[in-house]
Amino acid sequence: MDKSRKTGKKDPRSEYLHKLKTGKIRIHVLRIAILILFITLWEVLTASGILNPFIFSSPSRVLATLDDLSVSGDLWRHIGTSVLETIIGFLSGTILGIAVAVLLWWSPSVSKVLDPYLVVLNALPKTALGPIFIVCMGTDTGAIIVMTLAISLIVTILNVLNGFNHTDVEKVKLMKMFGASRLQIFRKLVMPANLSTIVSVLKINIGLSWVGVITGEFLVSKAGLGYLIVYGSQVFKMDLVITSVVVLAICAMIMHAGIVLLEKATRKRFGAA
Amino acid sequence: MADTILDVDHVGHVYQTPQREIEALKDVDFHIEEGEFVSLVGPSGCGKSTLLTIIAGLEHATYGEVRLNGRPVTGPTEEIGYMPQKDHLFSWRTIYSNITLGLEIQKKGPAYYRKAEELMEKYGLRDAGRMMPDQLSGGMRQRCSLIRTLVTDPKFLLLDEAFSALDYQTRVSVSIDIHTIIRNEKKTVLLVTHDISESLMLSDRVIVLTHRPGTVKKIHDLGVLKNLAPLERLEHEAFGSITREIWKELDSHG
Repeated sequence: MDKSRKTGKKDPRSEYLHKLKTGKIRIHVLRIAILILFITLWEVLTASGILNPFIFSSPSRVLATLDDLSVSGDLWRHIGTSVLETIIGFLSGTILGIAVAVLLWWSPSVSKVLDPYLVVLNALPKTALGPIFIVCMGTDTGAIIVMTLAISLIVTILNVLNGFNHTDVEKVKLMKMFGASRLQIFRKLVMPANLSTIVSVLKINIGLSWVGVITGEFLVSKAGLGYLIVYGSQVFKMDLVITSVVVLAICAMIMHAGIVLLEKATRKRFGAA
Repeated sequence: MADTILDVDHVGHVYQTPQREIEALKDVDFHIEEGEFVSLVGPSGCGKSTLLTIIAGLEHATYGEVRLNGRPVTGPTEEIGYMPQKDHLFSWRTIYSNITLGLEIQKKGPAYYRKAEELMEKYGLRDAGRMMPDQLSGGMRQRCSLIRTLVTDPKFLLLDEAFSALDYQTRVSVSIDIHTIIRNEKKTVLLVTHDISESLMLSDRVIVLTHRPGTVKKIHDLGVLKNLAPLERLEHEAFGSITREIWKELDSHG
């Protein structure tokens, strides 16, 4: 087959694959280049005094702060506190939210009655409830977790319920014609058909949980990345503030990557539902 | 004469909406005998699908009665097999577990699963069992859909525009396919469709419904065509003349 081609002319298939590969590499290189450029610029501008390093910190100062924090063991304590709160808030918000969505799917009349309440709760900025949680739960991790829960719960309920309610009616009809009970329709159709909705809700929730934890820690806490940020700004240690933000970004990124892996696994297992 | 399996006894249906009443069906009356393949054709909006959901037991008629083997249909029953317009195979299940979906729901015993495997073997799906639906062609998927309906061993099949989602080429070949399977398995069928040639290729009788409110306009006995295979029917002279006749009936609005 290749013999019929004139030598010197590339096979279109390998040319295409080559282009695809080089295209991908170029994107990765550019991405990393932006990061390096940013860090270098930041370092150069602060070192030369164009930007005030006391306010904007600098990559070398961040590294030094990280070193100090990890030597004293504080770094891991703060990361551990925030990550734990995020995971607990994330799991409870997601699980409770899905459970409520299932109940509301089960009973359309209850769902109709509660609809305006859900809409209002969804529109309400949950951070406004922070002080109430503190009064009720005390100035402990409890209040922070409830805060996180409040932020992710309603969104979870609304998104999952919406997915459930938009299950293909023709498929539901098929199930009914086989004589399926509501439980069978749920287990064999509605749940598997909405796995991708649930995974996308997980993705949203991981971000929301961090919002809940950090705002919670701003309000009350003795430890955590949010605490470090507030503490740093109060004593005007901007190095500490910016280091905490960098650590926070890395933690959030790792958790997001975890969810993306989970998404790939469910795709593989259940197909594009 | 064979026994009557389905009686649609002077069925009428009126939809209530806050604005007005909509009369969808009016005094629809016909009967289907055991082993018959009957098509119901009508213009869009003639209440075909309403009639189908009533026969299926998913909706109650405003007046009149549907009886299966002499017993009134009051809800979905295992005696009626339903084949939807699209194949609606579940993308997260293998072909085998799609086909046995009804058996799972109705908690059937192992004999039914053996029967399912036999049917898959017989109709060229043996190697497809472990595949996922998106690996199959449209025609294959439609065949899976029919077998999924057959494995629960219903007495009576309702085919809801079962082929209209397919392209012409596939539709003809699937029609032939399904004609063969249904003849082999000796099932009674009611096919609801808006496609005249489809109904003529497959059925023994064609019931023509009028525009809303839908009521039986005419029942055509296909006579000479009955004993021919779908493709032979297409070439027969009677095919064209009956097509023209039904075409006129559907066109004249009432």
